[in-house]
Parts: sequence; structure tokens; C-alpha cells
Amino acid sequence: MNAVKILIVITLAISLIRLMRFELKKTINFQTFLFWAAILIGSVVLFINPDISENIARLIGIGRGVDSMFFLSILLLFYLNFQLYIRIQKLDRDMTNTIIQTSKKFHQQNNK
Amino acid sequence: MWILIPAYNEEKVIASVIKDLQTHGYEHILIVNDGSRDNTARIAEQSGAEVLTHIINRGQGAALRTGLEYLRDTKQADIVVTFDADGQHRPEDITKLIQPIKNNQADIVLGSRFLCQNTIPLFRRIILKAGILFTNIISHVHLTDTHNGLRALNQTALQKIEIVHRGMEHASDIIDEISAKKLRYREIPVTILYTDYSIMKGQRSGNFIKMGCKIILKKYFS
Repeated sequence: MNAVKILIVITLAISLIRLMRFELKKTINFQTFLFWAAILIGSVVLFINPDISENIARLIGIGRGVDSMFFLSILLLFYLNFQLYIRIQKLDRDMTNTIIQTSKKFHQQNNK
Repeated sequence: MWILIPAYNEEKVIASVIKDLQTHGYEHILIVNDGSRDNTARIAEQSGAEVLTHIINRGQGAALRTGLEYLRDTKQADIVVTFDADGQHRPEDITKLIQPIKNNQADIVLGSRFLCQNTIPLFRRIILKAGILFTNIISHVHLTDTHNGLRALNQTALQKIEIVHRGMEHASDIIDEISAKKLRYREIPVTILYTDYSIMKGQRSGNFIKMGCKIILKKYFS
């Protein structure tokens, strides 16, 4: 294993430990933990044994293993971006609702 | 009857807008101070209006929602007139605006700047016309002016209309709701006073494209 591979695997391992800490502290829910853990462990396995990507490439009908990884990474990034957009929209809506309710309640309390 | 004014950083004009309304006999005025960083709330209160405050700026749609819900649930208002804070509306137009509601001919009355002679800057006229065409296609309601802040609502409209967007897209929400909830509506010609201040405070033309995208996203993808 060369130096770059070792560095990447160490980085991914640290990320995995942090992820486990988040789960233990209940900062993230179990589904989110499983999702990210699968991605991180999958990445570690692929970096240690790149031949697996060739099998995935054959499975999804893309020529080279590296190409299939790019293809899947782009799909994953689109999906994560979309999830983030949905989450931000929900937060924005929740914040607006809270501010509207707070302003009415505060006003009524002040006028009692 | 209540006059509802959403306001954001309007300390320069809010006192004169309130005074003008009071001079015309409108005493029940509610200002929703939408997180202003200036003295809008204090000046409005000193001028004799009731003031509700958002702790941070959430947009005109959210401010209107706050005001409409408050007037519907707490004041049991029979008629609510929405009025802009930047001085571009005339209190004289309110009498004819509320007439169809008093005559039980409409649940919501919308002011239209295109039904009478108004001096509208050319570029703004083009943008407004494009917005009207877009909203009419999306909402299946034929109106001559879709982004006019001067409106009157009766209790039926207050109960049924739900504002979804927190920004300027709320104007399209209201028109969507007219169509979806089968509300009776009328348009009344109103005069819009385009001052340097109201043009400066008004929507930037580029925002209309952003608004259009948001409306499509919300309507067809949510």
C-alpha cells in the first residue's frame, strides 16, 4: 500500500470514528449513521482493494472501474445535494412558523 | 375594519403613511414589523398603530401571514385591507376597494394599477406584465394586476387563504388560493404613487425570475 492510500484510509477511519461519536451522542439518527458508515467503509474497502471497482463496473455496464466510481460519486453528490436542499427548506419553513407564532404570543402577553 | 401593513426598515415614511390613513378615518392599523433594524416599530407605535414584531426578517409573505392570522384569530376582523408601507398606495382607494365586500359581491378585492391611468416606469411595466402573464397561466385566474399589495379580504377569505411563501411570491399564493378555494373576487382600479423612495424600496427586476422559479418549484415539485 502506498503513502497516499495510507493517508486516505487514515482520513476515512478518523471520519468513521467521528461518525460513531455523533451516533453515540445522538447528534445524528441511526439511519444517517448507517448511510454514512456504509459510504465510508465502502470507500476504505475500494481504496485497499481497487479491483472490486472493476466488478462493479461490469455489473452496471461501464467500461473501467475508475469510470464507474466517478459515475456513482456524481450520482451520490446529486442525491446529497437534493437532500440538503430539502432539509434547508424544511428548516426555513420551521423557522418562519416559529417566528410568526412567537411574535403573536409575545404581543398578546405584552397586551394582557 | 383593519389596515394591515407589513414593514421592513421603513422609518422614513411609516409615520406619514399611518398619519395619512388616520386622517382618512382609519384608526385600526396593524403594522407587522418584519425584523427591521431601524426605528420602524417605535415610530409606528408612537404614531398610534398596533405593532407586531418578527425578531428577524422573514419576508413580506411571512409578515402578511402573521398579520392576517392575528387579525382573524384575535381581533375577529370583518374586513382586512393590506396596504404597502412605502407610501405607494393612497388611502382614498380603500373606500372603493371595500365596497364589493360590503355589498357581498366578493370575498377578496384586488387593486389593479392597469385598470386606470398610472404612470409606471417602462421597464417595471414590462416586468409586471410578464409576471401577470406567468401568474395567470399558473393559477388559471384572469387578472390585470397580480402583484399589487393593495387588497381587501372578508372573513371567508381570511379563513380560507393560506400563504405558503414567506417572500414576495406570496402574491401568487393568494391568487392560487382564489382559484383553489373558489373565492369570489373583483378587481378595482387603484393609483400607485411611484416615488424615488418606493421604486428604491420595491422589488429588483431580477427578483421576478427568482420568484418565478420558486413558484414553479413549490407548485409542481413539493
